[in-house]
Amino acid sequence: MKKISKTVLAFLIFGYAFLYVPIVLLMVNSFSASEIPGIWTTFSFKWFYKVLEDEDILYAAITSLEIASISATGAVCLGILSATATKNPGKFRGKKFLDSVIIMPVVMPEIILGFSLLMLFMAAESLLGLPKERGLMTVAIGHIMASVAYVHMTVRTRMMSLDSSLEEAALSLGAKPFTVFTQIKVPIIAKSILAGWLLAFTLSLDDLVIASFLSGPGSTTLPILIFSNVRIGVTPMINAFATIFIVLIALCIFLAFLITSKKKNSQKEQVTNQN
Amino acid sequence: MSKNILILSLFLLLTITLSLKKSCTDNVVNIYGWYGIINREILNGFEKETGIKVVYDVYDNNDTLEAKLLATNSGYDIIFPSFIPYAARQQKMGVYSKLNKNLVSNLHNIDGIITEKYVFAGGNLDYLLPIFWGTTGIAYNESVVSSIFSGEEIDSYDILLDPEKIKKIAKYGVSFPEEYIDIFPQTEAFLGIGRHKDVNNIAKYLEFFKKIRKYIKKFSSSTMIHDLISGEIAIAIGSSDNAWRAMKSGKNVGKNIIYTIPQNYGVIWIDCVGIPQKAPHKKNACKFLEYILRPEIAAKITNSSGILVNIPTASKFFCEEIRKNRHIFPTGHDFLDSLMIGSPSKNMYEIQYDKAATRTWSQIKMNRFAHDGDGAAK
Repeated sequence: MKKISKTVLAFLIFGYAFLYVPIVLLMVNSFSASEIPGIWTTFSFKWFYKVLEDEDILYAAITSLEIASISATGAVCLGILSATATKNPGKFRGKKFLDSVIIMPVVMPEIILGFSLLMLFMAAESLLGLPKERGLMTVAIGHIMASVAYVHMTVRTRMMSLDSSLEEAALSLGAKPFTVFTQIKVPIIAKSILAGWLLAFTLSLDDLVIASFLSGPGSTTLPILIFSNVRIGVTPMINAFATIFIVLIALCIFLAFLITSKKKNSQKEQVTNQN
Repeated sequence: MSKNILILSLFLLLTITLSLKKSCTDNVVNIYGWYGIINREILNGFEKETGIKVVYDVYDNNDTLEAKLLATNSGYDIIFPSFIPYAARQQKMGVYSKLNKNLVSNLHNIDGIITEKYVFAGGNLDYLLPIFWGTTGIAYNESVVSSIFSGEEIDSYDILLDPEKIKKIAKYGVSFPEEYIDIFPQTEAFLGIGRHKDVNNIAKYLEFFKKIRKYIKKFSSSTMIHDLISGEIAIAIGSSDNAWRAMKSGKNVGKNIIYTIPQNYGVIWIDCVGIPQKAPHKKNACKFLEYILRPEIAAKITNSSGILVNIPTASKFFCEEIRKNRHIFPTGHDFLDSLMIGSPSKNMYEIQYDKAATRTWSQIKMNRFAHDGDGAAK
């Protein structure tokens, strides 16, 4: 292995520090007994107990997870469809147009997305009487709209590198297009679907702007709660909560890493066997 | 590959289990309020007593609330808008429904001089009740301020508006309010240019703030508590309930925060409670209103948040720290009478003033004095 030069090492350290020092500081502060985040007094778990006792935070967290999973699943379904539609060699007039339009939300400011959806829901309510009131579903719809683009992009990129001969072989052997899709395509692009799902999930989890436009009774999400909390002074409870969240996410990533690395090994074995 | 599908289906399963409706009943009341005003204990008490489930959502500023209200059906049953200028103009738009006096038997608990002031400023008791109030004043870190102005009593806005005085304290951090409405009236009084909403005065403000702008560290009403405790600022203009919270948490870290209503210009603010026109559960809303208007329950709100309830009979249940601090809880008819309350703009001239003031204040905040005159005079 090559030795790393000192400048590269310095950049490396700086880069990692830039990324992780704030998070570490946040986690360290969650163990402080002080009332104010950022001031260290003595070590204590009291803020962790407080988080677990605080119904509002837990309720908001569940609401957030709920909205995030609904919108991620919705975005994945739509994203796969749009990616398939724009990638397929079949004749379809607005293909290029759809491809560029669907990624528009990426460049559009969230506040415009949120406001335009609010207008849409208002118009729909006066015309159709639906949705009766804003709540979980309207926020989820907003998040789906914002994250479809990301799913579309990840899935489409994977589809581009798909070997079309596999598909053609299956078709020539008499498989119906739907069977080809579920038996051939989906298993191959599964990883990108998963990545898209997680991306959409994260986007929804930390969105404040769209949610505050579209939320209704019973749909206060975690970001809204934390943001409103700032007014009366943030307590280290938020730090403690963030710490719990980070640990959970780190565990998930670790698990995902375990699963994928095992798979890589088995793939390699397959390849060597074939050779 | 089957593993990938397995993971995918796991995620789908997660979605389905999470989206299964939580036990959903129609017997709810949807409340939309500030974070931390009415705490869980009070809400749980109501749930236990009536069996009505409380859904409590929070907002971080009045503009969010207004956007929700004006966008047809918000779905909320009880909301707490600030009186000036929000509730005053919302009421004119017909957003609120008339309070049913038969269903809320203790409406008369709201009484006294604050209510008089509310009516005088144009409030309508048939639609919105002035339930919470407080004052705007100066909160400061006692040890820092007394080390600079030893022996002087801090009881007027001079300390912040007199260029000579603010200069001395500037390096410890000075915070001004976010909105012009919390500072222009005081400036008017300080400069002695009358209290009318006069567009011609605005150029004078700009000229004046040019002198002291460099001593102001930040313009924020929302982060005052944290900034005072962490030592980022030493003195701030802010509301009494925030100051009370700062005093409370200051005690835990050994900082003595003091709040004072300046003699020369004390200002009262009022938060209302109302039921929106399209509220889906109006009867439950009335029950909740009846519940929080009881003196002993109302006092709990004050004791936990520092915001004062406008129910004279509740004051005997206030905790000692609040009852005995005459700046946090001002008493006495004459003193209360001397406090100012803003009034909504009535004519085009005053509305013009509001617009010009907003523009000028953001100009001051951004420290852009280059095109004064031009921007302010319009």
